[in-house]
Amino acid sequence: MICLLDGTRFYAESCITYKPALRNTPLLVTAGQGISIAANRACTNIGISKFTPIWEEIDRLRVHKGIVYKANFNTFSHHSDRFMTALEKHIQGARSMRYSVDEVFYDVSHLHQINVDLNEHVQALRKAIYKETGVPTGAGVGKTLTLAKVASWAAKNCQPYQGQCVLISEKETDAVLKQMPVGKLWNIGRQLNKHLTQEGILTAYQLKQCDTKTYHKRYSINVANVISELNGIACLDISVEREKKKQIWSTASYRDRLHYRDDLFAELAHHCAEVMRKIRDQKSEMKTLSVFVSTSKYDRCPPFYRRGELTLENGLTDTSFALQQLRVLFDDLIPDNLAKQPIYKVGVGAPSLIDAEVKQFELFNRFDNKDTLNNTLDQLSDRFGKGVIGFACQQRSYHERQGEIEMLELENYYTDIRDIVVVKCV
Amino acid sequence: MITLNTHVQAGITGFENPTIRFRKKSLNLQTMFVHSHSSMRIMSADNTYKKLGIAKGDWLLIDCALQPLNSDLVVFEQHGDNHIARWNLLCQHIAASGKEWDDLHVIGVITLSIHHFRQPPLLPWHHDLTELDLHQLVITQEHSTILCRAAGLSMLPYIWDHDILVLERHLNPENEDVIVLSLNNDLVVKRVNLHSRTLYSDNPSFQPHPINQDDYTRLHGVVRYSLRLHRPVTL
Repeated sequence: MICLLDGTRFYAESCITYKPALRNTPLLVTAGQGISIAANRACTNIGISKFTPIWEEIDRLRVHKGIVYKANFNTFSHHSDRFMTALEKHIQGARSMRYSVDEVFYDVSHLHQINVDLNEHVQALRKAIYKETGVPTGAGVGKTLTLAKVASWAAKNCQPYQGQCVLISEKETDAVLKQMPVGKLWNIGRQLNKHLTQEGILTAYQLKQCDTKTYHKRYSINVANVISELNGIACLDISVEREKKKQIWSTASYRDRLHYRDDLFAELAHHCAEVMRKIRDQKSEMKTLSVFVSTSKYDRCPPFYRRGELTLENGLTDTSFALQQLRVLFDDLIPDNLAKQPIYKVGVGAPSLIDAEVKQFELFNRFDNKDTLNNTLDQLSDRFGKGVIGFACQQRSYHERQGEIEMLELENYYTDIRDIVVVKCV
Repeated sequence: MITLNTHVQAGITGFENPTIRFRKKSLNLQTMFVHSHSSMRIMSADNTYKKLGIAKGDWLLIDCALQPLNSDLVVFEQHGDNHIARWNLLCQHIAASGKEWDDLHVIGVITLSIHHFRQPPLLPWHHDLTELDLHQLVITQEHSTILCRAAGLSMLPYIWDHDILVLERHLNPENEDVIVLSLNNDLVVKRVNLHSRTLYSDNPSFQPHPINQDDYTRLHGVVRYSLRLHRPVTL
């Protein structure tokens, strides 16, 4: 038995925990001037949902006196950590896993075995978390991870569940699966959904009836796993360590375009440093350095797209060497006239990685990855904040112009004494 | 025929938490307010000084190495008793009375005072703050404690405008406790009478507020400590 606990509209709710005046105001959260990343209930009720372009919805939002908050990932991060710490404290050492910013899986088998009423248990836990951290949560309990996800979906979308759903009996589980479109299942993406729908499999219940071996052959092991999990046979486990990533990319698009050579290089250097940091974090080494730049298809200029790749002789983790290689690639990557073909999207990546922990050492390899230097840089930026130290070419000068959309800033409640919650004495 | 199905155990990968790279260090009372471990210590106030906003039993963070400025509060010892006074007034008083400085010993400058709204734990005996951590002393459960700033005068004499309140969400309000709650459109700090369901202020010039059904309320927690900085620190 697995329980999935997730923060209800986590980003949106985090903005207004200490702002009662905004509790009924439609609210969107956005990271920039682009797509919104969260919406509260009042906002959904007026027909504006998350992941929509904010400029399309802003007029309607203004009519309803709604507001837009700029995402403050520092405060969100502390909020997330606090509610998960509260959860971990209450479950007293049961196996658990922080799956994403607002989702935690944990094992409730030991409680189920001694006939604890899981509905009551989850209810009490949710109450305690709300009290201690102010984070409202929803919960789903099922026999496997996938069924916990199913229950969590049912808690939000099916009658009569209100915020929590415990699926123990086969009958109750099937009733929910019959209501659930197959595309809403965990690990069934858009493409798979299309294929399955064409086959006539529309609900999760239909998929549950399928044969694992046939579907393993027809699609992949992942689909077979989903089928097994729907039948209550656990294939996925939260204790198994995450696999290392096989590719690492850092990309960004630039609303106001990159018009200058130096700006462009600085952005590439920044992404390159990000990638190298991630590679070091997961103890891999880079074999290929890949870079692309491209114009926007909505610009009237002649389209430009170029990708450069460099195969490295040695597994690379050193940022300074990667930046030198980037400089080598750079001249072949940019259009002749950047003013005429401004760049919209750039990316730096490592499409092939090797595992640094199990690699074969070579006798004549004298390549130095400057571990001491890079470790020091990493530690400094962990301790004093991202961006406090870097190489000179990472000096970025691109700034987004002030957008037309006014955004409110969420305070740094937990990290800045000048920004702490203000309580009125009235 | 019996077929055995072996199932593969696989780890799950998901969204990484995108916020971790943006997380900054939490506020820490020790690093914010204790600038010199070896010359600072905490003592309890022996008397109540209402005008200074200090009650008997309040914890005073004092620094023995600071040169007092005119506006500083100092703790001094005279005839075996500890007293608190503002430095310029103390100097005037001594000059006017013609007494000697000899029988008066200045212990230190008060940099921070901590007022208690509930019976505080016993202050551990210590020489200086190399042996005691202010943060650990005040904050017992990090994940459900949050610092707030007071704005307004309704909770005088012991909560001044701009004081820092330590809001502990995990505590259950008892009668006459100081609580922080959302009351309609405001986040407020009040005392609560649980029997008559009334919110009231310590400052008698503010009216009590009986909670009725139309009020929106959401409890955030109990305030056990309020902190006031007497000497500005550079952050």
